Amino acid sequence: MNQTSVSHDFFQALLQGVPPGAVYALVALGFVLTYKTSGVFNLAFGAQAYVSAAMYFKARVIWEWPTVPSVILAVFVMAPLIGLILERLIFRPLRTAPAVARLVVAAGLAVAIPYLFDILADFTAVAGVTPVGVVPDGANVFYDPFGVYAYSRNELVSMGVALVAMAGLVALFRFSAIGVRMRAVVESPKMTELNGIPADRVSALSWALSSLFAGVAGVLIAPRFNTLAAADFFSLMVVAIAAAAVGRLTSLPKAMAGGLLLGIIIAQLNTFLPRWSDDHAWVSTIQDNLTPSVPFVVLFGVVVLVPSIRRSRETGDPLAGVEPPPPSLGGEVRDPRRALITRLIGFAALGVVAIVVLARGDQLWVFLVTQAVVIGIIFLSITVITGMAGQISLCQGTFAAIGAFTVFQLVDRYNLSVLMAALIGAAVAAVVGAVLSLPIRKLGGIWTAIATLAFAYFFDAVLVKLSWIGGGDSALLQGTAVPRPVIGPWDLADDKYYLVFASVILIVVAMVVLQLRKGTFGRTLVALRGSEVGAESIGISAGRARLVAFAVSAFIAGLGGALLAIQQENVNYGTNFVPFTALFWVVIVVTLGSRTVRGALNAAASFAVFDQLILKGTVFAWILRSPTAIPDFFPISGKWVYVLFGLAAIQFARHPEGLVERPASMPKFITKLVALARPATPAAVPVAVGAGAAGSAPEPDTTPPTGTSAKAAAQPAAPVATAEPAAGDGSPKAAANGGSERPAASSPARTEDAVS
Amino acid sequence: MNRVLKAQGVTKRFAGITALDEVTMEIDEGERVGLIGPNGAGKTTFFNCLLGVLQTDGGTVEIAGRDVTGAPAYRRAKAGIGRTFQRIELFPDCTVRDHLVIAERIRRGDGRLWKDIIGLGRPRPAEVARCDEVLELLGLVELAEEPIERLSLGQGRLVEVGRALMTEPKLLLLDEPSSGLDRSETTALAKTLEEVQSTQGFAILLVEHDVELVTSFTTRSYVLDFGRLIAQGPTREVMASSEVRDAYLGNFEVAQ
Repeated sequence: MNQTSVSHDFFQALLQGVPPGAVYALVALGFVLTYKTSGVFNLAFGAQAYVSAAMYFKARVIWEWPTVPSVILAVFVMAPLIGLILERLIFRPLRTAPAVARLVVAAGLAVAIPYLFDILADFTAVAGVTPVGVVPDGANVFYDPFGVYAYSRNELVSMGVALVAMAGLVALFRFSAIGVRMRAVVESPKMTELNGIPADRVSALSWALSSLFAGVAGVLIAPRFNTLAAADFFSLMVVAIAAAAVGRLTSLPKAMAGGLLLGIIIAQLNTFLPRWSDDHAWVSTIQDNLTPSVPFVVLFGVVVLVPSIRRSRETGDPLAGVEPPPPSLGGEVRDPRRALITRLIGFAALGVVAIVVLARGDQLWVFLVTQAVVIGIIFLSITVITGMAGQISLCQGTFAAIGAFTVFQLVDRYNLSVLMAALIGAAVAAVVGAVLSLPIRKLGGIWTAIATLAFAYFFDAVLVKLSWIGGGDSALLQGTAVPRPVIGPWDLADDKYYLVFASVILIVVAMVVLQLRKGTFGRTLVALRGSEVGAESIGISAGRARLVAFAVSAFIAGLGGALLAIQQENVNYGTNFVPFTALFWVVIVVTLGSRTVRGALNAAASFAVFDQLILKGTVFAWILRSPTAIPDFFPISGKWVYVLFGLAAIQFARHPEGLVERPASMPKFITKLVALARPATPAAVPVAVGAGAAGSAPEPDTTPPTGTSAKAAAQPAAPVATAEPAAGDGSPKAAANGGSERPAASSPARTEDAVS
Repeated sequence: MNRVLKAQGVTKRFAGITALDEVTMEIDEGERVGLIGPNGAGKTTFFNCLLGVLQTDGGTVEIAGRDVTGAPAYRRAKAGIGRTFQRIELFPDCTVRDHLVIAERIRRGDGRLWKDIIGLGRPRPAEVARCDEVLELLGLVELAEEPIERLSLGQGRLVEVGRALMTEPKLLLLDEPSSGLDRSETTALAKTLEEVQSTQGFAILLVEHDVELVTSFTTRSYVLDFGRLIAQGPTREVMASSEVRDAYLGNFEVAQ
């Protein structure tokens, strides 16, 4: 290779890297815009982009509208409208909620919005039909300015729009009053209002603008995909977050530069990575997988290695102290008699379900209940890491996949006993969890979520393809089959035996989690969740506690993943464990209660049987004792599962204890119904979801959710706020600024903030 | 007499500003020592350096004869430093007794994961009894089952003291315990602390603005100004010295 050809190749790769870089930049700009003007780490940004792209597709291709009205509808009407709706109904009431709570809400929306659109617009993406672009002949007309690399019209337009958008946004923030106001509202809505600026209107405008941006990005990047799929938009967004992280999530020019840089680095690596040797399969595997991993490695690296990124949004609202603290756990201090009764009824109902399912031996139901049981084990891992340790981990699917793949590999290669392999798989996952926790255990808040998301995508993009993990090319041909074990006289190939086996494991894991929660481990985590400095002052090592929490959680997830693979007799990575699915797991567990074992089990039951039981209307057939009695209304689209649980996650911000554990704010009859039906596997579902739909609307909460218990609500709480004189100037402000929604007891720490 | 704290030449710089300039301090077992100084003198910085919240740029810190320079906060806690916070740092999801139980368990260091799993992790009667002794001492027995949201600020501080006592500290650091309390609450707190200290024999280092509290509570004091120790000795003498009056008491505006 001579000198000129090297520089030629370099130049070509440079030009080649710009268009994808511009796409990353476009999404990164929109993401930073949302973060800057709303303070929300908006994981639903990809979903918003998807909706505009799909709307455009629908109007342009299916309704055969001309381009301009399609663009107007999809980008200039739909996109800002969604933004306004999100702002008014969801994020405005959450403006002072903790960042993590808003992240979870956004994750729920990321799941719910695409499916809701699909249902309402009756939209189904046809696989393999490349979405049309906005630009006429965008993919077919090329320009070659330097005689080295030819750009398509689509690419040129994306690049142009990204550049213009960046310049416009920078000008907006630097030179206009409204830009300054937008930033001010994020820092402190109350302070802004005290200065006579209508915070609500500014924040609505911010959302409309950033959502418009999502629409523009969606329509422009759609032609890059083979099929319009929300998950693809989500993963593109994760790549863009890496670009945005380069600009610390706040600098628009740096986000733009980050996007371009990512595109160019990937193109350069593709061109210049030496082809060491094609004889050694593993070398070429590394070469093939190095480039897709770049964005996720960058994202992980920036979050872990650049401490200033974490502080960029930690500046506290100076008036935050006037806001009452978020409600605390309801489930733990509730009336013990009620707890006992519901628990007994729950066990009885579970037993009945198990006996009926086993006795009837209906194949579909045995399968679904087994699914619920196995998923329940995986969900308990979320109880440990999110409910107990207070960390949002978005890579639980990866831990589960590690368990599943370990079983597959050990059995496939070494013919190991399946059960032994499952235990080893769980142990491997635990080790990975522990090692992963080393760099991220001190991050906390949304940064743990981002780092784990980056890890999940790294695994998804790179590690799964390695032959010693996901089976590589041979897995494509032969699949990733996993056999069922035989224990003594019981051959678990029989689904009924497997159900019993899985149930036993579930009960054991659930008992262990309960014991852990009541023991030193659980108490240590409760202390850390409450106050990290306070915990360290009595000798608790936060790092060590989080490491153990990650390891335990990964062990449980790995075990569950292994059992799921054994149940399905295949790893089925693509349907079971991809990051988007794992995101939905977290959403559904958090919605139904991440702090309790029961919450996880309810979530698992819902996840597994909701579609069949409710949406297909089978429950009516049961109640009316006739398989033909299902009303014509059914079956309803299975997409409703995602919509309902995604939207229900909204209430997490106010009730972190979860839907089912919510103490007094539900209407009485629902509380009773829930109490009656709660842990009964299928029966609990409709009630929980009914309440979920209700909970997603802004509720006229008349009962102050003091957040602790019926006991707390019954006695007039004597909050510190009234006990000390200084708080006197705190509470009226809170009332004046809409804090009256939650006139809850104020913790001493918060009140102190208001004072000093 | 055992030396519980030996800080030598502790120095801390923030971006060119020397917040602490070679501060040296020694505290013996059972002493009650005050640390005073105007706002911005470096009291809190010094505190944080002792506790390991901040890492020092120079000097050494020894707790009960053990060099803990560079050790993280939780190690220092295990070495024998207990503390309370100016802004209360309690655990919102715990009852008053829970706070003490956790501290007791951590001090004993026998909270193994496998013990939790087989059900040995719950509070044992002996632990609860020990915690209740301390609650009794602090007059918190009636509140033992209360969630901390329902405590007053003064009670919250006592819970912090109780939690710190469960670690059996050799030195208890009190960070402006009077802030947010009124006069009678402050006096009550000081009285409780004196009683507890006389029975348990640990040393106390008190960082405080309230001159009256420092004068009545401590026997010996250090005065910081602009990161430097400008006086030390018996509290009454220190308070009377003209240098201290200039820096702190008399000419408050000038010092600011």
